[in-house]
Order: sequence, then structure tokens, then C-alpha cells
Amino acid sequence: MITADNYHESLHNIQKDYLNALLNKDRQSAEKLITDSLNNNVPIKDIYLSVFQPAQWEIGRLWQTNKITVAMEHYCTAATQFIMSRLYDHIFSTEKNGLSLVATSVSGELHELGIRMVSDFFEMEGWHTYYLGANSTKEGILDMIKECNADILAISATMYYHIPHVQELITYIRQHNESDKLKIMVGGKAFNMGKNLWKETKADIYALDAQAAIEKSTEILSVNN
Amino acid sequence: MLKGIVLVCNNDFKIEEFLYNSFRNLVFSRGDGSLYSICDNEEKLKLDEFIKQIKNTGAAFNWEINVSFKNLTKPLKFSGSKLDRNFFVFGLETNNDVPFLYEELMRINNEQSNYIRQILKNRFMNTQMERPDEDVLNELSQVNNQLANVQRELSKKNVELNKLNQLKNHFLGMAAHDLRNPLGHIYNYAELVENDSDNLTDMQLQFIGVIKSQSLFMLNLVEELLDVSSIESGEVVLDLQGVNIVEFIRTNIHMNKHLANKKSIKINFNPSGREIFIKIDQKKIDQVLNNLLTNAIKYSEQNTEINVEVKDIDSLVQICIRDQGLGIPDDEINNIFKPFNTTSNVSTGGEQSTGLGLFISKRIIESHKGKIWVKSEVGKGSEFYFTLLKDLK
Ligand code: B12
Repeated sequence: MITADNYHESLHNIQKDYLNALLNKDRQSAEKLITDSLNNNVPIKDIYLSVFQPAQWEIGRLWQTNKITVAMEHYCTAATQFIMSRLYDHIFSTEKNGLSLVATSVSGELHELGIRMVSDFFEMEGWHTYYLGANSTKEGILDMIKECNADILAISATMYYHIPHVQELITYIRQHNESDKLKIMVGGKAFNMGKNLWKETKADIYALDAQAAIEKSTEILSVNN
Repeated sequence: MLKGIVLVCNNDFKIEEFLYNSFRNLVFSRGDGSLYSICDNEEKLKLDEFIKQIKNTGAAFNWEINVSFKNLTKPLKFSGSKLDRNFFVFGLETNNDVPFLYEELMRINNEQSNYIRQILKNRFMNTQMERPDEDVLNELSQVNNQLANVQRELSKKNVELNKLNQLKNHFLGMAAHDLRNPLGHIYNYAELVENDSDNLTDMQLQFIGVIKSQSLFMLNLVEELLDVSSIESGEVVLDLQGVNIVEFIRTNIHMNKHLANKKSIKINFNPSGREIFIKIDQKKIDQVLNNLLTNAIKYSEQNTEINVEVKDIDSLVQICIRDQGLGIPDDEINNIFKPFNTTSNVSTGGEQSTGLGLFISKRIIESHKGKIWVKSEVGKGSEFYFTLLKDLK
């Protein structure tokens, strides 16, 4: 039973059990842990940030220290993406607030789970979100920004060597987008490595994780109004 | 120019010598620290493993480890190997420099390098061999990502569609509801005028007849639209009560007799038993029976027969209404339970059809956990079947 007193400990245990289930290739049990937590009124945001995210990081650690194979790492990530997609019905039913977010990964980036998580957080806050995968062209991204009159463009990079691409994309968008309300936000592991890395890209904002991304965006939008 | 660092470390991985350093802002003096001191704190574990691998197997190849500069962190590809009592470690910005570095190393120290070369080259070859696998895996990740994105889009669209559908039902319900009263008035006033027939010409009486039948049709349509909107918004609440279905059918047939009589159609009902008790929502099943019977009458010629059967099959009751009417063409039969799908058949007595009756019937039967289906042959007639659970909970 999850109570207010043992909440954090419970979440931690769920995360451990979740990871163990995946490492045992037991996708069903992993999924059940998540649906059970939902039924116990654990908010989806907590499941994202306190179960999926640390589990993924731990998988990364196990992988880089050669404790698990790359195949196992792929399996776990695929399973987590799948289980996340089972939560979509809950995520997309939030009342809308009229704001819209276009999110994308820089081209060549294969790490998309984090930015999808960021998009889902905005969706849960009532934003309209449009997540374009890493394969979209800069023209496509620009079209999308115009089409949905986006308030924020979120760009994610995990690999350090993708930072210059982020910079290029931002320059392109700034040159071609006429609306002056658009704010550009960057994030992802590449930017989390050094405090000021994001400034190189000339973005308007940077946030450490999905929750911070919401806070930073709300802040900049309210300043602008 | 080569971008990276080349170091010699002692057994504790203290840096003995900087053989090469292309980063000007990485200032370093010899013997001043360990390999750990130039690497990102977060990478300690990885470095442990890297060193362990060199110690255990003689070499490690192409480990990505972040190095900390003054205010900047940079991932370098680290490789290393054992060299007598020391260790050779190099961290490079790109893989491409590795072959070049081998040559350089060779020049620096031929003999020892041969040893390194051998081990590293083997490893390099092995990793090269593994490359295709890596490509496949990356490709797989991309496919997987795209699937996840499509899934996300789909779920989003699905929720939007559901909302639109709800909205549609809401409007439908509102519009139908607002139409019902005025239509009722039109019908009632027409009837009042009709009762005063002494002051009316035949022509006027005929017009009033049209007003009455048209407003009645519209009232029916409105009732059915209201049904559809409440069914669609999932509001079908069943008021289940036990009834003798045999008697129930008999009463319904009786109510429809006058319609059949107008066309000299005979309705036969000869059940084998006298009673089968089941639980149903009487009003709703009455609506289904009405719909099927009036359809049978609508699409049958004069002087034909309609047979109604009821069968007791284990936990089910199966009811069949068989006519000798026009029959439904093959290419239309799959659509008849969909809303607003009337067939190309024209009713034999000019009766009108809203195209909603069978759709509503299907939903009512399904809400009773039963099934409804049809068999038909053009020119011979149609058989409509439906089943009901005897003991619906
Ligand atoms: C899963 C995974 C993969 C999967 C990704 C699948 C997918 N669909 O995402 C695959 C197998 C494809 C992969 C590939 C590679 N990976 Co990988 N991978 C990981 C792993 C284990 C988990 C990533 C993850 O899901 N994290 C969970 C999410 C929720 O966290 P997040 O991404 O950090 O996102 C949060 C924040 O950063 C932030 N955020 C993210 N984006 C944005 C955007 C904005 C605008 C904002 C405001 C915030 C924000 O919010 C998110 C939610 O809170 C990490 C380990 C780790 N510690 O991260 C390694 C890791 C990222 N990978 C790594 C490496 C090296 C690679 C490869 C080069 C390996 C190889 N040799 O092929 C390739 C690179 C491929 C490429 N071109 O991109 C390294 C990167 C090291 C470095 N120095 O940068 C890591 C750190 C592992 C490691 N320590 O060695 N990887």
C-alpha cells in the first residue's frame, strides 16, 4: 500500500522492481507494476521521473560497465517505450490551455525517449504538443511551427557532438520564422554536462529535466505577457 | 592534426607522462594526478571498468569517457594497453584518428609498440567486425523510435476523435430534443383542424393528412436520433425485468396486426412451448421487435406471410422474423446495421424509413449481450435473427 509516509520509498521500490522485471525479460510484470501504481493514484509524472528515468539511467550504467549486453539495453528501452505508450490515454485526455509546443530531436540523434517524456509533460499541463522525430527536416520543423502557431520549440540532444546541429537548427529557425512569440528551449544529456553549454546555441531557455522544462517555460511566457 | 591526448600511466594509473596533448586549455604537469583527476566525476565507474579491462585482458578499446576541462566537458574515445610495468592510454576525439595514432606510436617505440599493435589491432579488427551489428541495432532503434512516435500521434488523434464524437452526440441530442416539442405541436394542431372536418374541403383534408404523416415521420426520426445520441454516448442503462418472452412477442405481433392487415399480410406465430422466462429491458426489446416487424411489413408485397419463431437454445433464446418480401441485395447486406444506411429497396406501400432503426436495434441487442444478424435472398425474402441471454446480469 502506498501512503504519504512511505511514498518516496515506495516509488524507489517500484523502480527497482521495474528494472529487475525488465532485466529478467519479463515485460508483462514490468507493465503490471506500472498499471498497479496508476491504480494506486501515483501520478504519471512521478512514474516518468522516478521510475522510467532512473531505470533508463541505471540501464545505461549497466551497459557502459559491460554488465549487460547492448541487446539487453535495447530490449529494456523498447519495453519502456512501449509501456509509456500504454499511458497515452491518460496523458492526452487533459483539458487544453491553448498553448502549443513543437518538440524535436536534432537529426542523427537516436535518443528520443527523454524528449518524448518532455512532450508528454507539456501535454499533461494542457499544452498541444507536436513531437517530430529525429528524422524531420528543418523545413518540416519550420512548417510545423507556423502551422500550429507554436509558443515553444523544444530541441533535444543527448550526444555532445550534436550540439553544433542544434545551433544550426536554431539559426535556421530564427532566420525563417516571422512570429516573434516563439521561444526556443534546449535540453538533454548533452547540455546537462556543463552549466553553460546551452548558451552556445543561442537558445532562449534550457532546463535540466521534464519538470524543470515546464517551470522554465511558464516563467518565460508569463514574463513575456 | 590529431585531436586528443596520449599518456603513460603507472600501475596505479597515476599519470607518468604526457606524450601528446592537443588541448591547450587542459593544463597538466607530469606526475601530478591520476587518470581519474582529468575525467568527469560521473565517469568514475566507467573508468574503473576501463582500467579493470586493461589489467585483466591487456587492452581496452574505444571507451567513451568524458574529460573535464576548465569549464567544459568533452567525450573522448579512450583506448589503452599494458606496456611492461606501465600503461599506455590515449583519448581521441574521433575513431578515425586511431589508425593514424598507431603509426605514430610505432614510430615512438617500435618494439613495445609491436606488442600494442598486435593486441590493439586484434581488438580493432574485432570491433570492426561488430560494426554491421551496430548498424542493424541503430537502424532498429530508429524504427522503434518511429513506431513510438506514430503510436503517440495515433493516441492523440484517437482522444481528439472521441471528443469530437462526444460533441457530435451532444449536439445531436440537443437538436433532436429542441425539435421534438414543436413537431408535436404541429401534429396536434393538424389533428385539431382535422377534427373540424365539416368546414374543410376534401383537398384541405388531404393536405392536413400530409402534414400529419410528415410530422409524425419527423417525430419518429427525432425520437430515433435521441436514441442514437444516448446510445452513442454510452448512456444505455438497461432496466432488466423477468418476462415470458413468448407472451411478450405475441403482444408485440398483436400491436402490429393492423399495419399488416392493411396490406393483407398474415403474421404467423406458432411457438412450440408456452413460456420461456428471460430478463430483458422490455421497452427496448419491444422497440427491436417493432422495428423488425414493421420492416418486414414495409418491404413485403400484399398477400404474403411473415413467420415469427422463438427457439430455446441452452442459455439463449433465438428469435427469427422471416418475410417473403423483396430481399436485400448482396452488396448492401453488410451495411444495413450501419446508421443512415437504407437499402435500394423501395417500400411496397410508400412507407418511409429513417435508416436508423436497425442500427438502434443492433445496439440494443448488443447491450443485452446478444447478437443480431440477417440472411436474405433477393426476390425470396429476408430472415432477421437475434439472440438474448436468458439470465442477463
Ligand atoms: C536508451 C539509450 C540509448 C538508446 C536510445 C533509444 C531511444 N529511443 O531513446 C540507443 C540504443 C539508440 C542508444 C544509442 C547510443 N547511445 Co545511448 N543511451 C541510452 C541510455 C541507456 C538511456 C537514455 C534514456 O532513455 N534516458 C532516459 C531519459 C528520460 O533521460 P534523458 O534522455 O536524459 O531526458 C531527460 C532530460 O535530459 C531532459 N531532456 C531531454 N531532452 C530535452 C529537451 C529539452 C528541450 C528539455 C528542456 C529537456 C530535455 O528531460 C528528460 C526527462 O526528464 C543512456 C544512459 C543515460 N545515462 O542517459 C545512454 C547514453 C545516452 N548513450 C550513450 C551512447 C554513447 C550511445 C551511442 C553512441 C552508443 C553506440 N556506440 O552506438 C549511441 C548513439 C546513437 C545516436 N546517434 O544518438 C552515452 C552517451 C555518452 C555521452 N558522452 O554523451 C550514454 C550516456 C550511456 C553512457 N554513459 O555511455 N542509446
